[in-house]
Amino acid sequence: MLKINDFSLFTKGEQLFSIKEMRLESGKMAVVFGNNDTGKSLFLRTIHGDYFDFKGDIYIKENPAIFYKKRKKTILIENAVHLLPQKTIWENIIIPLPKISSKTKEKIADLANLAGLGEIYGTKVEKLSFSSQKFIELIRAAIQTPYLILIDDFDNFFDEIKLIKATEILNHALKNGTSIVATAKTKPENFQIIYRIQNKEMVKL
Amino acid sequence: MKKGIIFQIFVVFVILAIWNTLHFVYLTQERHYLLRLEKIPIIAFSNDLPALQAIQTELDSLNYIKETILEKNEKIISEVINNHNLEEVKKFLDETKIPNVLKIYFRGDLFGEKQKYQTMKQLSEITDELAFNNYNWKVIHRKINLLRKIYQIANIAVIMLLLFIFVFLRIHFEIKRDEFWKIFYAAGGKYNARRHSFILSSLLLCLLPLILSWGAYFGLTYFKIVNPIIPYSAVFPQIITLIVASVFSAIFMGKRLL
Repeated sequence: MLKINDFSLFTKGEQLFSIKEMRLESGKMAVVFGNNDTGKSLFLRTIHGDYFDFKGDIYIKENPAIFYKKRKKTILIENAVHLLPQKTIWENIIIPLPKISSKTKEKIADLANLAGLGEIYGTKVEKLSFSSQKFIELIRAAIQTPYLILIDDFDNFFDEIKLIKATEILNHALKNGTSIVATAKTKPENFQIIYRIQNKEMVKL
Repeated sequence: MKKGIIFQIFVVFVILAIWNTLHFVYLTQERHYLLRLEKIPIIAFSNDLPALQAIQTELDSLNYIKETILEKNEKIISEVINNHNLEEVKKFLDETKIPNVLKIYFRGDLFGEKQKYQTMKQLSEITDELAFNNYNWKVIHRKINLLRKIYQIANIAVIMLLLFIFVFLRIHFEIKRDEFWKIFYAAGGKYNARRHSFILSSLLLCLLPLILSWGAYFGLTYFKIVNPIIPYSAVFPQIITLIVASVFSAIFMGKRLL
């Protein structure tokens, strides 16, 4: 799904880190962790096609990332919340969906239930906690099953219990062939593919 | 969004209805004046009947002549005698040289200063005795010209109003949706969706008010509440104005639609 070769990331002319090769198969999740200002967020934005100060090749499904610039097949979940606060949970989840089948409707209800969001049709998003709002973004991304879901500061949104719930939500997308790249500040547990950024190098652990 | 579109459709419909009302009022008033014009004939008097008959044939072939009526002097005399019981003075009337009369009625919309001059010139070749209420004719003509000027200015005003309101409302409601579209794209929404939505709503905004305003007009004519006098061609300036307004809105929206 994702292939990165001889990649170096820069900001203001300075190299943040480099990596020789990164491979991520369909239906797999990789976590990249590192300290602040190591370039984790910019790395995700580069894969998403929003940041261009880099060298090397990025391929998503055998096409260069630029190929998807206008037809996004990746969803980036940033630190900031991208929801309409005056709208309900349901309305926020279905924003990008062109049509909603009864199966999708059922799946959204299941995932919302798993996340413990409560009454999704009547509750306005502004009344929810930050982590609940992030659950909505996760459900919204997972239900679309894009090629890639990119999650910035994954460990910043959830405590340990909620992190398990979030992983279960993401499993829905993984089972449908979506790959996930998440970043974190600390080394996460329970993940098989982990990368670390240290000393301007990104290495697989 | 739906409320916004419905509001815009309503406002555009009201402006189009005002525009159609303007057409209707103008055409009704113009028709009234033209009918008054058509009732003012040029009357030629002459004893030379063959000459009058010849000129009548000539005039009948002209497109701005509505009708010509030739009244022969014998008929006039017999009518006068019959109508007023003047059997005793019949002999006197027969001896008096009462002229033949040619009444020429014109089509109000085609008969102007130039046509009047031409007709007068033709008639003056056979007789000097002509009667025409020139003062009335000129007064009505002045009124028609004034009415046409007001109509033209009012049309321009309605076009400007429609352009301004349409573009203003489109931009206002689209900018209000900026946050939605920002989140839509951040959430993985389809590329170009905003442009498609804009085109679709523009189509709705052009078509629905047109259908509603003309539907209302045809409804009123069908039930004979108003006379069907607005020509179908009046719809074209409306379509063009709506298209231009949509294009302006799209230009003003610029990169937001990409």
